[in-house]
Amino acid sequence: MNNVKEYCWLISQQPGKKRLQTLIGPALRLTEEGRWETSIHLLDDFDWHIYRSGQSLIHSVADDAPDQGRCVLIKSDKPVCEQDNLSIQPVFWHDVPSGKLQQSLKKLLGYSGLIRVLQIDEQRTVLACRDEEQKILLRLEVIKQTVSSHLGTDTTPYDRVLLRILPLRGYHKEATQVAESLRRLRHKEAESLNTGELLALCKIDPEAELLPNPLPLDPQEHTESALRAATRLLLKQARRYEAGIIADTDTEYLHQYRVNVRRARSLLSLLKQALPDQEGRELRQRLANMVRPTNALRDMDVFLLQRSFYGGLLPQPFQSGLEMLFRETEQQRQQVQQELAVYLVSEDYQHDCLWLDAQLKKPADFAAPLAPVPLHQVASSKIFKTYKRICKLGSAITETTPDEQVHDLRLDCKKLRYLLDFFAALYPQEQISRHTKALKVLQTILGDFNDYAVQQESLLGQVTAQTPPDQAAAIHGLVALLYQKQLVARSQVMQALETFASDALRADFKAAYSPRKDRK
Amino acid sequence: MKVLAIYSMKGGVGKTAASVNLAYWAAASGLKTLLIDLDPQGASSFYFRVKPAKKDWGQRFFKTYENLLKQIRASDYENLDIIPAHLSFRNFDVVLHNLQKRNKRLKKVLQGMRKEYDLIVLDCPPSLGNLSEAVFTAADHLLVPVIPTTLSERTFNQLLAFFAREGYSQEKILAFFSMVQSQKNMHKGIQDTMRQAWPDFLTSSIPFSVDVENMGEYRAPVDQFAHNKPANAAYQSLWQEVHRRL
Repeated sequence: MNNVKEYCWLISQQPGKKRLQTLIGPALRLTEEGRWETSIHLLDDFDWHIYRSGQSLIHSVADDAPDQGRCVLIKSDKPVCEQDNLSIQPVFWHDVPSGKLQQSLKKLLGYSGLIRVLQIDEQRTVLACRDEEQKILLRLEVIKQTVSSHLGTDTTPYDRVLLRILPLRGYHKEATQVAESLRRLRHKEAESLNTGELLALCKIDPEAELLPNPLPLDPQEHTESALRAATRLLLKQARRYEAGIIADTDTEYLHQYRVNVRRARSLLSLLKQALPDQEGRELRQRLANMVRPTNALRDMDVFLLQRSFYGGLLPQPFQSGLEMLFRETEQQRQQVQQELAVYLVSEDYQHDCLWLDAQLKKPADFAAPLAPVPLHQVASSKIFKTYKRICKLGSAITETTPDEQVHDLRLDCKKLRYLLDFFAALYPQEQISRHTKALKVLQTILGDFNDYAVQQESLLGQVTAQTPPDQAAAIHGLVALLYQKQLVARSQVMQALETFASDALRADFKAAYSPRKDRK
Repeated sequence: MKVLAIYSMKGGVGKTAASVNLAYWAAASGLKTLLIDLDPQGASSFYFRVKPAKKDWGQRFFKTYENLLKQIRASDYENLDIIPAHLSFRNFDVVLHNLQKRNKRLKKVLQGMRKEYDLIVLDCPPSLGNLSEAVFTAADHLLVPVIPTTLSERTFNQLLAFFAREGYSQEKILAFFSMVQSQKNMHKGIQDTMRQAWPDFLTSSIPFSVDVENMGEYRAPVDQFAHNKPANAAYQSLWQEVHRRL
């Protein structure tokens, strides 16, 4: 195979052709093959999903062909997949024509949009290194990069120069000799588009922006202190998404905002005996106040994100009514989004956030019963009790149990999920993954069951006496189909519960979280 | 992977020029292409400025494909690699004579290239011996340049007769007129006669051109120094026609 060793060095100064020729010596002659100027952007979503997958997404546009952009997904300096001839920079996965890159982005991004993280303006000079018969034996690339951040306020540009030595097949010896003669220029090894290096150059640290996973916990820490610290972290994370909600960049900002506030609120509720009653109640109330104004927008987002799903459910005669419904929702959404944006920049909201932060920052006073108990004792007991409750509630569910009880069970599963997520650092990672995976199967079925019910209710809520007949027909058609889907999900609940409460899993949970056993 | 051999029993008919230019256009069209210069004179290697190996390796050519891999050199053009000829290739007929299953040897070593290349172009020496038979077996298509002269016509018919006699499929043969001088009546007449007798002649033909002769001076495919000339368009058109048939 053609295992050609390339060299890529960071060098301190941009060398001219003459200087390179002098260093290489007279046996090989340098000729310039061309110069290119390219504008490159490093793209990622706000939560760094591409970075976290160990990959980078590069969008580049040559100065002489501005409407022929190119997107490349890179792993370890090697392209994984790419797409040429992009007239605009993609934002969502579906902005890329169908193919391998689209599939990869769909998996990495979901509903998130791409934002520009870094800009790299590149001037690339390619020199051919020829023998006495003018045959090219290798090429040199001198790359001058000006790198600047698109995040935050510091957009200071940083310059760096790279030298690449690109051997041609069958001429490795010559490339090694040239590399030796140019070695004195080398500052250090580099990659031309190594995301880590480029981010560090612009002082961007994605890890510092993201919530640590799992949350850092000390098993000996008192529960109240740990709870206050973790809730603060979750709130800080939630507030990261505010700017994106206000700018309406994509729907994931609001979703993640809500997820983090809900996690914080749920923790305060699950561990309410670790805080003074009055304070705990007030904290929970304020967090509920934060989420409430976001409900309407999220409901509309969920509905609009189902556009192609709903479209696929209904036959052609219903499509125009459905489309009308989507258009109306889009218009209403604009209004609701603006109202939320106003709320998020309001003094009341800012004041609430400051109050929450100050309250959570207070030192623990250990007045509540669970407050002074070491975290690891509380964790196992809470997880095990919640698991047992799910099994107990689950055993009472039959084909005829009212839907309300199934919804209650879903909420308990959610609680268990929050507990497993929150206390993850206290247990072996493999154990937490195993239990979370088992829980997820049940949660998916219960979640589907709930979603179909909620969607029906929400759709029916839109039918009034003024609703045009086409639109009403589309809504009723959808409701009928969603009801059928809800019945299918309902029929799967029993089986999923049986698996989750199986003897094997019960024994596993008991061994892992039985309160008598102290671990880690 | 396809194997395209540029072959004629007769010398000086434009085999090397066709090999160089077709390999160049194949690579330019995006196919990972390997040109193997089987002619010990090494003319196509010369056109691409690739020097032959220092070591005498002709004896090892038909043993394993790894021997070939070591000899691959990149050309100056993207997607195009070359195995340059070596003087020791002049003994290929003898080398093959001493090997068992000699007709299948070339096919077998070329199979080792299928992961890396889409197309292998063989620039063959003008002969009819063991090497040629190994080429007839290995190639998916034999591209035969024919100068529209009486002698070339005779050589082409000899090749057809040989294929018929030895049981090689004549369907492999793709013939085209080379070094055509349209002002000559004889060239016109022989092209008509041969097209009638062998309707499968490719429609593209290569004109007799100083630009093709100049490849020796420029040491590059015609496109590199005579981009707008008829000879260049002719090779491009020939490649497109061959590509459709591969």
